[in-house]
Amino acid sequence: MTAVPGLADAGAGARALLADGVLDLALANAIESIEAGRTGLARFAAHHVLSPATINRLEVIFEEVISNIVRHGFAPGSDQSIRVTARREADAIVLTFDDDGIPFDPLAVAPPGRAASLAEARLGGLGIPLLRRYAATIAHETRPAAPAGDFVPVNRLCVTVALEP
Amino acid sequence: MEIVNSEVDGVTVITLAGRLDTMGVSSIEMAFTAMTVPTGRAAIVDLTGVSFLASLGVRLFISTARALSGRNRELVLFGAGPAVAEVIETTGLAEIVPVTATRDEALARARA
Repeated sequence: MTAVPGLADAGAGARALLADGVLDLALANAIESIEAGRTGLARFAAHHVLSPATINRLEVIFEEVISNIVRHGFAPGSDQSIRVTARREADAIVLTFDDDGIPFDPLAVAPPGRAASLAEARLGGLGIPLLRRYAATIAHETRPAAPAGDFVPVNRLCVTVALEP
Repeated sequence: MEIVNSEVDGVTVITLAGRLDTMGVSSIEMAFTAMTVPTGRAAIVDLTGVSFLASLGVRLFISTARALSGRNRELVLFGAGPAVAEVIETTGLAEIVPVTATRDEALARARA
């Protein structure tokens, strides 16, 4: 196991491991985690020699999911953490996002209608169409909360991203 | 994230370079708003040097375009590469904010 260089300074609580081509990120519940996690994701992408199109899709999904968890998944000031894994399968990248915050299932949200004008345009929910477009599959599950103590994920979002040429 | 502001024939020209992700947006959003909204001029935004766009950047463009439209001015985007263009299309931004391929087209649209 090797720690991903550059993450030590990336934010309190951040940790990234790349072992046997599998990325394992532990991120603090903070907006800085997006940048911290991206460093790890870049190492994962380099290890697997992913195409720029695939990397862009992974980065968009990562940014949208983490920013949503950080902004909406926890009570303000709570210090819960987020765990992200990425692994390569034959024809796709599999991302998992685990957190123990407020459950949010992106599949349960109706896709926002296309705004016909600036006045009608919504400023929220713009990440949902990006997630739906860039993911090949999306699955969300929420399990009963475990007793306090070690990090036990309650919510798991599993996203697969097809390998683009 | 870099932001450069100029003026061409009464149109504000904003050139952005870098990643318009959460960090990038937070680093330029105050400057971007200050360079566009109070001027009373139409604005065109050069995205040629933008390598990444996600929903927070789209949100910045919508809120700025809306503020300008209150003054009867448009915000026009141009020069997006394939990855950025796909986000513009997927979020529906292209249907409510004019998007052109070239700077000349953007200037013509902004002056119209």
